[in-house]
Amino acid sequence: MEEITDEEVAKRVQNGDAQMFALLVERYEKKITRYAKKFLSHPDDIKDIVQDVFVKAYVNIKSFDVKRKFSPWIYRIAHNEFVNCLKKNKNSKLSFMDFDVLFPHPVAKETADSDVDRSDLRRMLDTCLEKMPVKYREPLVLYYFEEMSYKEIADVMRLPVSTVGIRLQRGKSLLKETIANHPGAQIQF
Amino acid sequence: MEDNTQKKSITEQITVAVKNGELKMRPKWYFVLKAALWIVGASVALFALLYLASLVMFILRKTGILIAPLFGWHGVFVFLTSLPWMLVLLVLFFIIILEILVRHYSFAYRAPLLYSVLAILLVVVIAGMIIDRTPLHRVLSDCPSAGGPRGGGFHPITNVPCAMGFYRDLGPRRFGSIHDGVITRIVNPDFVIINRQQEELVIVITPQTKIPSGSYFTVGDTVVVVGDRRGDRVEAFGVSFLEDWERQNQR
Repeated sequence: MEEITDEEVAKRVQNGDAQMFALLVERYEKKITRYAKKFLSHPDDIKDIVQDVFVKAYVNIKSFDVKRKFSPWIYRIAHNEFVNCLKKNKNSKLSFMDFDVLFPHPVAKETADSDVDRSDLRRMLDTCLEKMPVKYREPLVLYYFEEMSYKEIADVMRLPVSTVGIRLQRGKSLLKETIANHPGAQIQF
Repeated sequence: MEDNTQKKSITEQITVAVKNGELKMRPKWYFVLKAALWIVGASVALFALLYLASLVMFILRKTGILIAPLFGWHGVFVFLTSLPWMLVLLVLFFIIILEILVRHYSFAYRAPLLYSVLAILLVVVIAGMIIDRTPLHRVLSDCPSAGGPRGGGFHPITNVPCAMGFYRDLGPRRFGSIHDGVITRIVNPDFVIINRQQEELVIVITPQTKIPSGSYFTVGDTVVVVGDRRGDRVEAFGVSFLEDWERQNQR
């Protein structure tokens, strides 16, 4: 039997079958929790934040356009929650304006990493992610762990597609530099 | 009890909250209204922007400020000091507001900020030039200055209320170094013009005065003079014809 899609589930919730929302929570709980853990590094209240994401998703479910994909929509809600959480933390370095957003980056096209590269980068990210600046950390997490396309990441972060590309490119370089400069962070392949 | 709650998965907690009615979906109309307000806000910002941008263009054209930079660095200085800066700042303010409002939509945020700002600027300049060529600002600016046969308050033709007194303040009276008017007498090499305030000004032409080559001024020509006024004399450092179709039509 064919599995009902997220969008169909969301449509049924919108039409009044509220209990179906549990299915969406089940499908996304692990993903959003992983996204939160990687994006927010080590917050104490991950579970509460993730719960807030689903509460907001349920409250606003009628704003979801069922002709579009559900995953960028719920990740967008999660992104907003996490950014708000970082803003509350005075130590986080969130910049108000970024020149990456201002100018076009024609060189930053979507590249297809091989499976080996992806898996290597994921392992490197697991080790060094918290040392990365927030603006590079998030696209790296969404691309390598949540396996989103540049366009989907652009929709989640509300950024130009080329900016996503340039941040991923710089993020990868920075990650390799971090690994090279911190022998303690070396990992075995 | 509390331990049990903590052990519960998020799925269970949300399901219970939904079942008990603790969580309620916002109705569809809430989002429709929000989207409509957003569009109305963006439209209002756009119309305000177009109005202000076309007004800036109208003022620049009507007063001859645009001609000033042709007369060298002194002219550029006069141009910069004569710009209606309050309006220019308002235009910039509305560009920022419009950019913030349209950035909500994927067509805007997926492109670099520079592109969307340039797109807004292009629309504003083109639409502003088109609006400037319509009778809108002429009608509104004539209205208060003429006062109208009905003694002010209403435009004599359109019956539009004349609440546009600020047009007068934006006019050439603000600009000490730019004078426009119609030539009434020629006293070689100087000439006399009568300006909009019906004042007679003697335009003093010196060897340093810049005049576009091939320009021969005759009585009845409308000119713009850039120069410092002392009493009823203006020592011109630049003179040019004022190519203003409106003025020519009115003559």
